[in-house]
Amino acid sequence: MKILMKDILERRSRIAGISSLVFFLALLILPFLLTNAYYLHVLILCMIYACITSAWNMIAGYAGVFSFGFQALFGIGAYVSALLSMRLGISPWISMWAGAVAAMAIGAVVAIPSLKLKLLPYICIATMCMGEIIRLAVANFTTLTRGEMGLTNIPKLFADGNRTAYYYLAVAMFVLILAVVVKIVNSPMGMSMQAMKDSQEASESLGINISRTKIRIYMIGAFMAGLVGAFYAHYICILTPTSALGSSLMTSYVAMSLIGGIGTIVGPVLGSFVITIALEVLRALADYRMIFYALLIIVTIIFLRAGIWGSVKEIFISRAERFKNRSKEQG
Amino acid sequence: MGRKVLQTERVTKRFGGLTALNQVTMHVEEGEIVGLIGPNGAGKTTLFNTVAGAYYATDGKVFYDGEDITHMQPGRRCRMGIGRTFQITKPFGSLTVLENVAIGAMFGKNEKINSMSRALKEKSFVKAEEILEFMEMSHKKDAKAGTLNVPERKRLEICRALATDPKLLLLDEVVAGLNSSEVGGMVELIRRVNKRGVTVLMIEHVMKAVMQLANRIYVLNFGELLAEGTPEQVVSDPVVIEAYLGKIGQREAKRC
Ligand SMILES: Nc1ncnc2c1ncn2[C@@H]1O[C@H](COP(=O)(O)OP(=O)(O)O)[C@@H](O)[C@H]1O
Ligand SMILES: [Mg+2]
Repeated sequence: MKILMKDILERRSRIAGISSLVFFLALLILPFLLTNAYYLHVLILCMIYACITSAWNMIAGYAGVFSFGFQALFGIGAYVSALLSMRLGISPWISMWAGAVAAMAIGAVVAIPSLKLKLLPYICIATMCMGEIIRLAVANFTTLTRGEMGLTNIPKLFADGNRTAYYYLAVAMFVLILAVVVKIVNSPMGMSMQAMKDSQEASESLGINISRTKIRIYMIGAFMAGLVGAFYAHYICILTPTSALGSSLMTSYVAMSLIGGIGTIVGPVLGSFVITIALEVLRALADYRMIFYALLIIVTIIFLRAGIWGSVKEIFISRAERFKNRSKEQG
Repeated sequence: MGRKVLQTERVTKRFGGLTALNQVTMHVEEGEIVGLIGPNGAGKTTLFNTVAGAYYATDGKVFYDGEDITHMQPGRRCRMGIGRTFQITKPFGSLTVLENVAIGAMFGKNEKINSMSRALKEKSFVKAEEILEFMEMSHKKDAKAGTLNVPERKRLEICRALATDPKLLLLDEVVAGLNSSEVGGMVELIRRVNKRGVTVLMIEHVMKAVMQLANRIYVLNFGELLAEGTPEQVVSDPVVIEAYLGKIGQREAKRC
């Protein structure tokens, strides 16, 4: 009867494999079914949010390092890539990577002093301030960034602005980022991140170099955020400090992670899709975004402590446990 | 006389105005089991912390295997061979018991590891299974560490530390809080660990356990070393009886 439990666990990973395959196949097929370009646009937004929320969740949900300035890294990727392609005429296909590297570099500059702080509230405040400082710098350096007037006519990645092409590029980026997140979470480094979240002291006593791990994971996440930001810049083609660096973006990442299920792989993706689509459906809510988020978060915290996906997982695990106990009694 | 695995030289630790350790000089030789006893607040755990690196000594020096480690990072000290348990246990509550132990095996041994390596992870899980077997914890391996009771948590602390292949193991009150039948089991386990070639420094209030296990005992009181000697010498030392054991404690200790 011991085999039964193993069966369930094996089946679980197979189910996960099959359902993610179905999900990605669906993403690939959707453009043939959705003739309305607006639907593709919404899905692209979903994937942009899913990428950056997954990156943030890798750092906050898995490693327990709550960075509240993550939107700034997205914005840096966006602005650096946009400016390089506009002012220096570099191809956006190349400047995108420069944007990602710039975000990673800034991420390191932020991370090295603030992640040395061990207490969570200090890290939160330090990263939050860094995010605001970067936004203010971009808003006030008007000769380069035009401030709140914003950058317009940012070069496109596809000359005719072909939405289907952007869609498939977004899918590729999404698959790539998610694959890297999964790979990291399942590696020894991923285990050290989870250990660190539960007890920094115990992790150190077991040989983990916690500040190095934090800085590494933060830089990887920053690179992802920068890449996504650059994609966004060359997709939307308009950037303002508020739209690319505003702290309301940060609220979205947190809300999406919490509602989907923080500290899981699927949760932030689910949260990003659900919230982005919900906000598009309920367009009238757009002005009350923050109230919408606040209510959703409160409801989630009261009724679904672990978020949608986290709760599904818990139910599944407790059922498997019960199954195991029952089979133990029998055999 | 054996080689000194651990040597502290006039180690002092101050927390603001409070001197938790005052010029403590002690050592542990290879293969020994050394007891560290003393009243609550004497500075025993603080001494462990300065040895394992959770705190840095305010003054004085700590040597491990002859090397000055006074200002070394705790992770590095672990990889050099110092394993420790926490008096207030610190399990990775959201991970399983097996994963807890595997983490020790992954990070606690080698200075240079590839933290993306699947092979390293698999090897560590095999090692963790062995250790859980050795420590009679296998039946709990799939339980979330957060769900364990106190004796199980203490055992997990030892398993995790052992997974790092320590040469010197610091045990902080792993017997305290166990019932008398469990005490016997834990004493036996510590002896077996020591037989595997691990030098042990243990803080303990349960005199029965210390008397059975220790080759030598240090007594700490108000941050200062009060006495040192064999268990028999220490329990009949009037100064120790006065400060720590009391008359009843002495009788109990002698009965062991
Ligand atoms: N991090 C700390 N900050 C301030 N005081 C501390 C700290 N750790 C320990 N102490 C103090 O140091 C003294 C020794 O504590 P401790 O080493 O835990 O004693 P023991 O383990 O012998 O019971 C106590 O007075 C305790 O309050
Ligand atoms: Mg103590």
